[in-house]
Amino acid sequence: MSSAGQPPVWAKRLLKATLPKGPRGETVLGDLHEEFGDLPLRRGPVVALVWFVGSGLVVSAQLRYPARGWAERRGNDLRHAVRGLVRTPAFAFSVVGTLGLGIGSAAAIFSVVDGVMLRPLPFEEPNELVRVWAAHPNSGERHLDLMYADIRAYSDRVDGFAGAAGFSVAPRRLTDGAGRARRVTVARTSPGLFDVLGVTPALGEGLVGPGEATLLISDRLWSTRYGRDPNVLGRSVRLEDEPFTVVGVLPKGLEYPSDADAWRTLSPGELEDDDREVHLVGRLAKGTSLAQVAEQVAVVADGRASEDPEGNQGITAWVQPLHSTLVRDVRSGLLTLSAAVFMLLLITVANTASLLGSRSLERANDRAVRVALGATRGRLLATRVTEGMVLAALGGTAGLFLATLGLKAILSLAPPLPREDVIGLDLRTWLVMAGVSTLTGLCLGLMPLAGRTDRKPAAALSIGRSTGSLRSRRSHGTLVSVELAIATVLVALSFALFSAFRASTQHNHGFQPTGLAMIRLDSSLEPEGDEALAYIQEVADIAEAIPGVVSVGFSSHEPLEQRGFRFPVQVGDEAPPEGRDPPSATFRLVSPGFLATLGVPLLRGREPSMGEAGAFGLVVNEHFARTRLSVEMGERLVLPFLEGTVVGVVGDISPSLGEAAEPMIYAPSDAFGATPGWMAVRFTQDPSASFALLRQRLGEFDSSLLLDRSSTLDQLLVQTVAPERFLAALSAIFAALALLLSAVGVYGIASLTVAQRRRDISIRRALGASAQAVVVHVFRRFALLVASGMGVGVVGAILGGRMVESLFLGAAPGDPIVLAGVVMVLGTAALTAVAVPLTRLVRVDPRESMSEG
Amino acid sequence: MPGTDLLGEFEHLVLLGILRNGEQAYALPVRQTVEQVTERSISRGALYRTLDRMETKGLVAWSLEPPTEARGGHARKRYVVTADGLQALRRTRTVMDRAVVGLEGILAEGS
Repeated sequence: MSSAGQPPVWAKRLLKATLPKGPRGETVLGDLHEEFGDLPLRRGPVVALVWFVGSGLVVSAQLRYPARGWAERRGNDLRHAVRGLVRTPAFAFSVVGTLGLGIGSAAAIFSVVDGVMLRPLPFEEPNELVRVWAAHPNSGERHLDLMYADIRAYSDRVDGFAGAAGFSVAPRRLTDGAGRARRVTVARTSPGLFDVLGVTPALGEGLVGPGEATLLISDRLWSTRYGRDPNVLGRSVRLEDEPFTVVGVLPKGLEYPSDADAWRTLSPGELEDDDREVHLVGRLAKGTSLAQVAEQVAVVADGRASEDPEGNQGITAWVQPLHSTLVRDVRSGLLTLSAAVFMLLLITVANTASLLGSRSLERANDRAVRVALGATRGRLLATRVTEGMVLAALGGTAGLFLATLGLKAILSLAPPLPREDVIGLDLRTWLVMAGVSTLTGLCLGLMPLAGRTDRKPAAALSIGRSTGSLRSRRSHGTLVSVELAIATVLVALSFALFSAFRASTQHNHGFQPTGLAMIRLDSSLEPEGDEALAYIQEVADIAEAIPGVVSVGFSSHEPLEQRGFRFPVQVGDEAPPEGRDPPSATFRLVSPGFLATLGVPLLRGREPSMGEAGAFGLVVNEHFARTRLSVEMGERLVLPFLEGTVVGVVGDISPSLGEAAEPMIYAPSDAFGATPGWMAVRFTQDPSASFALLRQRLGEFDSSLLLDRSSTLDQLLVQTVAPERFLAALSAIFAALALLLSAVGVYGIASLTVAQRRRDISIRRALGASAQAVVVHVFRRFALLVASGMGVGVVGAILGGRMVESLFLGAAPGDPIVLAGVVMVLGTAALTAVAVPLTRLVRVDPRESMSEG
Repeated sequence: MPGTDLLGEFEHLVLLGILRNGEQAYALPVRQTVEQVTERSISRGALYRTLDRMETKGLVAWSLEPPTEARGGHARKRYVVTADGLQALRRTRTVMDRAVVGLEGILAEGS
């Protein structure tokens, strides 16, 4: 350590480096040495060393900052900054407002992106989880579910899986002990799913062996149905008619699959089903890569195709990380919004820079006085950075306020998002906001200083001198162009997303949605045979007795639902050509009058009906008739369980933009002796009043009817276009803000230019230039900047637009009319913002140039 | 205007400390003297800063003495009070004396 009388060399070097140079520091170091003397002997070497280094550093700090302490000087800077801002409230308000808007919108969008896309899933080692998808390369379908038999095949044969399990999801009627029924989404799972996911119930225990009548419920169902009562465990409930016992409650935030309310195990019999509706999740074994598992999965898929050619012909399989699976629907939308909000943030930074530029100009004299009085470059820098930090802190606080409001608005506007319950302004968002604010503060503090502190005080102080350097004029010109380029891209993008939204709302569904309501006939009475026919007739009579009801019809499915029973179809006696998949079609049961009630046009023939001698009169849709099989009227169709003759062709139903119509076969429902699941009701006018009455009457007729999924088609369609509406609305808000902020920014820079160039202009006027010529000269320069900025923006909009076009159906980003419109609107706004301050130039007095300077 | 300014309390004490230490008026003995007189601890930084300030004002001067081993081979400053310093001490004392005339009874210890 140290010998008596001599501190260690490193300590001496440290103090020598920190103390002032020359005799001043030298003698202090000598004094400390002298005092150190026998201290190690008296107090011990450690205490002596601590004393030596500590006292030396304290003296160094006191000598280096002789006038005041560091904290005191920061306090003074802070007071100076706050006083300066209070004296110029308009400036402070503009900067804080602009920053608040930028930071606030960024924070709100970030919290959504963070919650949905960045956070790990609430599973053990979530990166090891993958989903297995089936694909049908011939039809281009890449996201098909698996079959029940696949669960065992993939679990057993893929060595790269530490474990795998499958489940399917379907709506079921849940009736509790008190007889209250509601429709819930039930997941039926193979054993071990929760082990694969690494999830244990928050309350109670997990599911036991296959086919046991035990039920796990979600945290959501536990809250909404049972008021978080811990005594829910052991309760008996019924799913449809089967009794189950609630054995556990799953933890909050288990969002996969997002809509499951209850979980039960698949029975051995159900595992034999051949429906393609299974979600298969696997956990990668340690040291196994995604690519290795993908290879193994493909091999298993080939094996399945040879074992079960009927169900697996042409089917391959692939794996996708579970997280990507969950966010795939919203990923492009959120990334687009992130890009938009980033552009908005850039505009706010550019805007703030221009505001600070003008502030810096106004305070050039103040600064020059301080330099003349001996302030160093460091002191000026510290003052400016403090001011920047104060502005950024206020902007960040305003941003936090706006982000809180904005996030509420976003979530109320947004379509259901995956993992919505974890979205919020939490510590992560706070830290990101604090980081952005601090960085902004530093930039703001440093930016206006560049090229200004070295100004000679005398030059700045001289009266009437032009205060704008060529360099600052150029940088302001760049700001104008940059702001307009970004604003052009943002506004064009917003128009593109709006066109996508409009295209989806104007989409022709192939039927008349307005004035139509669909009612789910979800009754626990479940009449069959003649009773079913009587039940339906009764329901139809009730509906037709409601004023304003034009017609009613029944169907096994609601029209916007594309999924349904899909079967291979043989036309006539011809077997499908060798090597081709058998053609298939979606099969639906409809009552006479259903298609007419929907407003689906009957193109040829008549509606489906029972034919002579029990033969089915089938109706096909146009897609089936034209593209698949060139079916003619009277042709015989053979399905696995029925045969029939084509008696009519109806128009296609397209549920949404980009979702092509499926080949469809409609068969008469009265042949099957069960209640079809849905009733369509056509009203003469706005159905809302009559619809409520209808629901009431139906409830009186059958109190077990669950009418919560019934709605008018207009309501359903509003939900289907919700993602497009969300994107269009948010991007429109960002575009409007971009337009406003860039106009304000251009106005600020134009005002600054006018102020900077007063003297140049007065000289020009004194030399005989007319006021008009001077205005035209400055205006031309700005028009060039605006045009060049928007030119770059239009190129950016076209390039970015191609991306948007590929992501969003119906988006028309490169539309020349739209781009011309954007240029017109932005150009007019920008040039107006330039013209207003330019009018001040007309009033510049040529005598100003004569003043001393 | 150094010619008419009164000394600050700490400057006053340090100047007296230098005078009291005579030929041995180095920073360390001066600090000890002031601490003894005031019966309180004096920060090293405050002492050095005050000495620097009084040097700038012309109240003290110093000469550099050669390094010694006890000081780790570092030189030391021996301070002297300049003529201006003495004048400032006298002026401050006169003012203080005038200020207490008639208050002796109140200011006497134990009153």
